[in-house]
Amino acid sequence: MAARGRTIYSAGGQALKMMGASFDITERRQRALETEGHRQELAHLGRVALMGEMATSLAHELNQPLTAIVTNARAGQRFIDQGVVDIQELHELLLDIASDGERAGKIIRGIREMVRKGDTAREVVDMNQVVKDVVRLTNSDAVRNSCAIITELAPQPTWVEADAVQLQQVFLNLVLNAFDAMQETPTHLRRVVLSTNSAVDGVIRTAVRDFGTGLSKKVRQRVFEHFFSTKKDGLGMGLAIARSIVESFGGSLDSTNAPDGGAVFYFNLPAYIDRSK
Amino acid sequence: MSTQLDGMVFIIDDDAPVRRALGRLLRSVGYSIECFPSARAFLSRSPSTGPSCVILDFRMPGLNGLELQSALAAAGRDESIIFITGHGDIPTCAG
Repeated sequence: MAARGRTIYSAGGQALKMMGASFDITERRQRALETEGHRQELAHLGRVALMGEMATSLAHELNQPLTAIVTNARAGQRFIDQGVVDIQELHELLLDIASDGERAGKIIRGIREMVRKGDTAREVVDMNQVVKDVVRLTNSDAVRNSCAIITELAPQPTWVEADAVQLQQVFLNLVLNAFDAMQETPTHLRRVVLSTNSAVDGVIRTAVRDFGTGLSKKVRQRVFEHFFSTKKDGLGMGLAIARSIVESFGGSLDSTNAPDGGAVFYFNLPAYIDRSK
Repeated sequence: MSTQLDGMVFIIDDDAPVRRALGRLLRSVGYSIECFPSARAFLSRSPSTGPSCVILDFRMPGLNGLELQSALAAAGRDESIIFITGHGDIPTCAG
């Protein structure tokens, strides 16, 4: 229910009567919930599509530690068979095996988080950590695209209140787009700069910059529209979903061209303020 | 007991754990090895005089495997190269 009302006064300022009305807002509430539900579903579909797009790279990313584990185990076997076991060497070999196992596990967890269907969380998230997680997932894609990834992170943690997985999704979209934007750029100039800034006026700003040809005026106007894509096999949903995610956490996502070439996609999110203090 | 084999194997891979694992495997069969994290690091080493072979990751940031091969050829170096890649596909092999 929602209610509103007012008091009618006489010329002398005396209250004459009060008028009011109550509204049944069940339907309005329901629609808002439905809209949020649709947004979540769309975001989830977007993440599944992203993982599909990255499948080859993720398989490679997983294959690296597995190859290293098997190779180490074989080497260890040979050392033992030959009776030349250097304990220090064996110790380091086993350490490598353990940490490669953990590395593979982290990648699998990352993928599982991305494809998991769940309600939007509102947790305190460090944007720097989001960037680091995305760099791990896109590492192999970067090498495939002969592109360097540079991170310029704020020295302090950059806390925002949002859903970490959905923020990763936003970043992944922007980074994969950046790779695509540099297909014509000579390989030695291909780089993506991911940056986070400490809060200024209560806002945390994060940006993804590429060194491609930049966005034409026409593309810039439409780049966040649903079903708009400049890629031949693009669905045109990535950026539209990304923007709706950022907006759902009270932020904004926009693009501009860097003065010295390339496009910059940046988003602002309200900095988290710890009210318990 | 393994016999120490003649010749040196140079391993060039940007992935440190993979590099170390390959190094151990080759040492376990008796080769001497030297590891490099990038093509540039390998190029800055003075050429080996004895018999040697290079195990080279195909795709690396910076100078990739093929570019290193060209750089070695241009410098008149004729080390045998074995390419390894985790991204093996037909266009890569045919190209």
